[in-house]
Amino acid sequence: MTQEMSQVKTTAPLRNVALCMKALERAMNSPDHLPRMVSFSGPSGMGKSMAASYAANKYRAYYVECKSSWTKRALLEAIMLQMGIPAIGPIYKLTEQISEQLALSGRPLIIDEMDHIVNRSAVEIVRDIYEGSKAPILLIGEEMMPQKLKKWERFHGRILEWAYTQPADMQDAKLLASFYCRKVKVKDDLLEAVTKAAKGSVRRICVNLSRIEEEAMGIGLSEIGLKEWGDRQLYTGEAPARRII
Amino acid sequence: MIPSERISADTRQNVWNAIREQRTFTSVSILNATNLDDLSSVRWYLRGFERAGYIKKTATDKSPRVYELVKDIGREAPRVRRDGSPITQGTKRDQMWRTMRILKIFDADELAMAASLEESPVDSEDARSYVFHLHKAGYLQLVQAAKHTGGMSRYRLIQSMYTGPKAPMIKKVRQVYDPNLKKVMYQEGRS
Repeated sequence: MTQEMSQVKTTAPLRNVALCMKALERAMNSPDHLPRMVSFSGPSGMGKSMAASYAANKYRAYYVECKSSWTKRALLEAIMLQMGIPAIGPIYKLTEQISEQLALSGRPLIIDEMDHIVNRSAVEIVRDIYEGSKAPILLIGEEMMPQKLKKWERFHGRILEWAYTQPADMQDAKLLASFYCRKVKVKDDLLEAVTKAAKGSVRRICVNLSRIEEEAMGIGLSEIGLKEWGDRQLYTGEAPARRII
Repeated sequence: MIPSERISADTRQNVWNAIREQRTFTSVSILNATNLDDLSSVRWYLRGFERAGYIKKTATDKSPRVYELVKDIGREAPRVRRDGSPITQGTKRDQMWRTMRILKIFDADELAMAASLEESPVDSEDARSYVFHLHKAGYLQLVQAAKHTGGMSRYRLIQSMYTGPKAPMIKKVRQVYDPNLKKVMYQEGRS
């Protein structure tokens, strides 16, 4: 038995989950005179959702995911649905109720796909909620979100930390293999090839791992390495190169 | 009689709502503000809230006892037992319910993995059963059926079926109950 086996399996050790948690916890423990909003951004496929769900579960955070069509009111209504409060009344009332609930409960707010509302006045509402509650808020978005937020100067200055996703590494691949490949053992050399092919993307690692397991089961192997994998392709997220025959 | 923890979630919430409204109160004033029918169950909740430090007796030694709210944590009632210890039952379902919304498309194993915390691990079997029931009850849409060569069915949480923060419950009688809508959403054997 390895030590890993005796521990509870969670996504916490994944590189980007750990980074995201660090940023959120910094916001939660931030002294009164410092801001409590943090940003976590990076390209898609890097495991931001896994990070968000771990963080949301750990601190029973209120979580909303923005849509491109969202107005101020839509954002408020989504947060209130999360809080189980009926969204009745004018916008300022809803903002007050949300702020009060955040302040009293001490639970953080996570706003995912923040990019979608950056060009809308809904950003101002996030600032109002923050000012009214001083609650820790985690903003999650794509790579360019921090740049886009710059145009909201009053908002920008309230961000305690700009955290960025990091490429998934071999450690991540090992952990993901323990989740995705239960029936088949994937040897390190193949895992290394997977990590390389995935170019830092958690999603591509996962796609490859489930293909590998399926393939191994199909040919009746309980263990698979680079040798057994042979010249089968790994998913790199790119269209395959044209072959000249 | 000790109210069952599962059934009484609404009652606990009602008592808590009344406490927040009144701030200073007696067991009788809470009873009057709720639809409970006996004082003993009000006292049962007050005792738990008191031991957990949410409410406190005021300095008067008059009878009836007057309490005050000293730790307001917002709208959601604290989930504590009579002795003040936190109730953890149902939190794994809450974790899964929350995680489904965030992952969007998932199979049961992925759900269990993403929803697990060190202090509150979700096992695959539990996730499978929960996913199965929620699919039956119309919360989840089947995205990709399990292949016979292995793999698991993948599901999507139907957006309009996110009814609120409380996780739908699977009752012992094989029902799916939605505490947000206060409605039975699925009953085994009926369709």
